[in-house]
Amino acid sequence: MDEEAMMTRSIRFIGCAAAAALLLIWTPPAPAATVTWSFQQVDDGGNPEHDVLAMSIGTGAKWPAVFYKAAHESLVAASLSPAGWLPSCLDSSSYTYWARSEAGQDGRVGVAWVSPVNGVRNIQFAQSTSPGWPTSTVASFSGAVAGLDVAYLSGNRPVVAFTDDNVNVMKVGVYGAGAWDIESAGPGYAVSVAVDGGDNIGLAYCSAYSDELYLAMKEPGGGMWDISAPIAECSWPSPAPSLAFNAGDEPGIAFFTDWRALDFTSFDVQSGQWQSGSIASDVASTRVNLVYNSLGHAAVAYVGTDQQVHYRINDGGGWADIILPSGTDPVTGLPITPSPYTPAVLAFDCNDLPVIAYYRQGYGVVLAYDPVVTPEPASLVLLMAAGVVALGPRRWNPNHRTRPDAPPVDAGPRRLKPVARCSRATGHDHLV
Amino acid sequence: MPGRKKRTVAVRLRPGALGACVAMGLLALAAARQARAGFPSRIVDTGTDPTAKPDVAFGDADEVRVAFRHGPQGKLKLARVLCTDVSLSTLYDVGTPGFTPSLAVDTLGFPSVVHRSLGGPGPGLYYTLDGGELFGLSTVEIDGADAGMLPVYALDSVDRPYVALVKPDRIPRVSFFDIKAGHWVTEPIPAAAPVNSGERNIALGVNNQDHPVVAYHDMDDDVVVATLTAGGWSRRAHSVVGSPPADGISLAFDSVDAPHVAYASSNGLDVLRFNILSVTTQTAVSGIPVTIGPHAMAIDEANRIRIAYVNDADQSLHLATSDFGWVTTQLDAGIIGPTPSLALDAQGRWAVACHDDTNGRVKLIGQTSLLGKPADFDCDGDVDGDDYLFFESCATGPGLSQNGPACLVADFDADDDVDQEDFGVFQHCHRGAGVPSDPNCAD
Repeated sequence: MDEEAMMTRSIRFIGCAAAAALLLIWTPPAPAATVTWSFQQVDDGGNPEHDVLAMSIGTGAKWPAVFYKAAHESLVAASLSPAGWLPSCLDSSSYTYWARSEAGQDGRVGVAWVSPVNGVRNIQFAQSTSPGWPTSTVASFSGAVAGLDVAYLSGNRPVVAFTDDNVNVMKVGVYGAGAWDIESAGPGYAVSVAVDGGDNIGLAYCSAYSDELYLAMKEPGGGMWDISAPIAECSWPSPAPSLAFNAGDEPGIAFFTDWRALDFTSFDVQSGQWQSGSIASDVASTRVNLVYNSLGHAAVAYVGTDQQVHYRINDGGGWADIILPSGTDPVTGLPITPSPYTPAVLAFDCNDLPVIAYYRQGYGVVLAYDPVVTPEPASLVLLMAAGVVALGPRRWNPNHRTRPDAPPVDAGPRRLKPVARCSRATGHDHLV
Repeated sequence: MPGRKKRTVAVRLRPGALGACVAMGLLALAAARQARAGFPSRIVDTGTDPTAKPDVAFGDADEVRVAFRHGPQGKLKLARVLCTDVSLSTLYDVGTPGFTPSLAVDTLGFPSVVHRSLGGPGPGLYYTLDGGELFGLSTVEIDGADAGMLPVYALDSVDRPYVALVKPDRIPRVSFFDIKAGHWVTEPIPAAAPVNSGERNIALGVNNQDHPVVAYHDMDDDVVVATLTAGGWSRRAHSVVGSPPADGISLAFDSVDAPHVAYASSNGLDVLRFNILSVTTQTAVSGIPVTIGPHAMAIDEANRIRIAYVNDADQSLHLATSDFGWVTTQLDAGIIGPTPSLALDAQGRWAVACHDDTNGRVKLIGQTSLLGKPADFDCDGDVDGDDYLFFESCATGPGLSQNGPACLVADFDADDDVDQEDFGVFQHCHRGAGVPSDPNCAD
């Protein structure tokens, strides 16, 4: 490194250190932020049917799609767009139940549900691809379905896991070559499916033999299922567990230990043990979905026994309990109190902002979006001052590739790659 | 019976006694088109008026989209142009719609247009999405905006829409869709001075870091570049006193995200590059008055700048390219409307949409890799019997109008019929099956 470059780095280091010192010396006495949730109405006629609510973030991991029962009891997919919420009827049957959704890698959103017709249970799957929510039947059988979930493998291949309660056997369907390839995955119920970064399929389920919670994993391309030791007791009857992988491909499971108590367990690679703890004991929702943000923080949302929407996230310091406002939203005038004993579903957008959909009391589906935390003015000034100190020396870097007077042809071959998803550092949903 | 008549015309024109005449005609035709480059064109629609102001964007693969106003029909229309086909759809036909459409195509391949409407549900600025069979056709009014002046529209990498506009108070504004609130919001851009008069003095783009950037010419004769980041708007201004923009401004970004602003003045076409500390100026065209539209400029991965402009002196359409110096190419002899629109695809291929004011047509001009070679109607690389059959199906004879949109491509001399002259051009291009055709055969 030449002397000039070292000098530049030194100047920048001093600048950064000065900025850090400035922040440390004058830390605001109170949390310098205001957090308010933005609410919007997805549908004013949503019908809070048992467990029929799902949501995934589609295009660019920014635009949500919500699946719910409309007032006329059809299963509806509503996608947010600049033209507003665009609803599409997926299933006009009145008796559809259990909807689970997931987003593919290319921005498509898939949803699976159960559609009973004349005593036959049809496991249906639809995704937001041209020519518009094409629907296929994954499997059909008489009798009950005990658990249903959906995930995506690489290449936007959907995976649907479900249990044929007639024989208490879990089945996993993978779509490929124009058809569903269904295989049995052993005895179990209340199944949840997720796919890790290596395309391994994971199933969290309750054993039909022992009523214990297990995780089964299978490598891409076939082979046998690797099954964990029993993780915990399954409570019955209670909602199904929810499986998710964090960015490090570590599995986590949110599961009920009784009708109201929700626990979380994750596998600790160092100790080779499952580490479990309680999330909440006041859950009134009929389902929860576990999700991780990009920092690996696990989170769930649910409607509590207090008829409030709870957003709980574990940032390593325990499960924070953030209660969403209820009553009437002062900005929109919307009634936003949740309907009791109904599901709330959670997703993170590409800026790691939580998005929660739920049925509100008096029917209707509401979306709550946690906006960017806005620093108070004093903190903003401080941060800006620190930023100026830290970034100032860049202007004097003689090694910068682009000279101020360089004509375009001298700009060089370096090209900034367009961002495929919204940038965390530059996310902006509010102008100033 | 029209079909029989067409066949008769075709047979009569086989080489023979009229051969010399045809050759003379071809020579004359070639001389008339000598000034044009050998780029193929498509007639997108006919019967239009100068309010069409077409805007172009690339869709999936080799698909080009063109949005325009069909004034006489009172519709906002969208064309899907492929090498082999032009198909049209109506996006909006309520009231007096579709003024100054601005087009973008999202990551799912769905086109959307921001446009003004002067009647129907009320004058205002509207967003119309053609969501295909997935979402259908939807139109919403953009909150806080009004019919105002020329809206310019762009999408970021996750399909968030931004619209720059100027209201009658001449304060520049940006409309965006607030996903968290689920509605459009319009907010002013902090500005030192109002936007200068002239409908085309504002442009908008999204840079490679996903920041919306607005360029405009203000009353202080500054060209201003305003960028929205997480910290708010930043603003840079460059004085252009002495050679102020007169007829249009356009914005694009190079590989290091430096904003380039092209502006048309009474003396030509200049391009400002906003460097880190300074601004450099290049002159792309000098000595003639030109006009451009807000989507007139694009920069490819090799940092070549392309600008579509109209020479005000004769209203001819040109393409200026910076490739080791500026090179200008005439694309159409005119008379062309003042806001040609240019788009580049990921492979660096360009397409220019414009309005032919003389003939009342929306035209698309592009490279042969996009629109095919002349007379190669099926775009298979040769001009053979299959292409002859197509020509035959379009032939009308002299003076008989051929209004079928698909057949406009066979009207080589753009005189509304497909006749002997056009057949002469076809013969000139005909090489037979499997023989690569000549891209300049129609010149």
